[in-house]
Amino acid sequence: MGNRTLAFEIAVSLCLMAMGWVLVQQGLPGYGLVVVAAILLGLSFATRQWIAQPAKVKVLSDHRGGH
Amino acid sequence: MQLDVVVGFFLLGMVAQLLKAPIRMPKGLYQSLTLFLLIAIGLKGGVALNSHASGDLLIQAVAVIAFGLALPLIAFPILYKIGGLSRIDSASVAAHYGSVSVATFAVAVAVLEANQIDYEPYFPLFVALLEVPAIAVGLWLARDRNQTLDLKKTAHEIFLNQGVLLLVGGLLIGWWAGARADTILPFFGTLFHGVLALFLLEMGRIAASQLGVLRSCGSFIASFGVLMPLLGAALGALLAQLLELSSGGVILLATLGGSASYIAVPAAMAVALPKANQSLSITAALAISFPFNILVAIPLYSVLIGQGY
Repeated sequence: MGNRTLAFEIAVSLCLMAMGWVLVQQGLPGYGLVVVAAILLGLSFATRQWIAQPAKVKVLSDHRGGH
Repeated sequence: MQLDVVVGFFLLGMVAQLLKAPIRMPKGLYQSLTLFLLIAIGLKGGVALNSHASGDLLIQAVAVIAFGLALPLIAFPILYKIGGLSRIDSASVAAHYGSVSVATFAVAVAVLEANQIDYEPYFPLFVALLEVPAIAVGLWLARDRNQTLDLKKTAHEIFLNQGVLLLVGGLLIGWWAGARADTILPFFGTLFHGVLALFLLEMGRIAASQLGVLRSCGSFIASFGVLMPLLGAALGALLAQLLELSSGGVILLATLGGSASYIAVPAAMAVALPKANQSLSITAALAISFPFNILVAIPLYSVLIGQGY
């Protein structure tokens, strides 16, 4: 998951949020898109946290093993 | 915007699964509900086809097939170039998004009927036509000179899988029988919404059980699973306008363009591309795009097109 995918995920979330916001401003039901955009944005950061966690544990154990 | 009553059962299934509540539908019942829905949709479309066959329909059918060929070509570069997926995985996921979901179509039909919005009654023909072309494009995109393809087995899975066979079979029987199908139509018509509600209860449970896979698939596939339905739906709505379909027809073609197959294509891909990561496609189609389509997209298209946008 490189910078390109992160940029893609953020771009998709921002587009959805903008579309939803425009629809809501026009009195149309765009709040669903805003909620989905927020979930995607949260998921984008949460999955990166999840993936980073095992790596931290490994580094710690390697470090201990070194001593 | 009001969600259709059948969608409530989908939410119930999802919530039950997330709370680990013990709702277990017998496998045989789930398969029976699938059989019922496929035959009901095919039969109703076939009966309508009996009285609507025309030259215009042929032009529409050719345009719909071209649409089915184009969708995977749009999905593939996003998956391959931006997502960094392997060529085989990208082709496999793209094929899923080029094909269609009969369950999503059934929900869209239920929404149209609940809101009394007219649509072309022969639409199930387009569902059947959109099932297959994307699989062929997916296989072409995944082509590998070193890998030999078992053409006979692959063609068998593409054309004779349960979804395609029952849908096309129902269409042909309805088309052949015409008004004579009136004797069985009450059974398939009256029970349609109830059966769909039960089917969606199980679908909600299955979709929620796939959410955990997102942790291994990554969030890219979730973003793709939301973006692709919107792209496909926009193109579908545009094509429907060009074909001068009714407002209900625009909603249905947008829904089909935005839906992803999770029954017919996985079966074909398992045979033709055994190295493809199936969980990637199933998670995107079933856990992301299917809920997004029935909870957010279809109600939104109905309001937008109903208000003349």
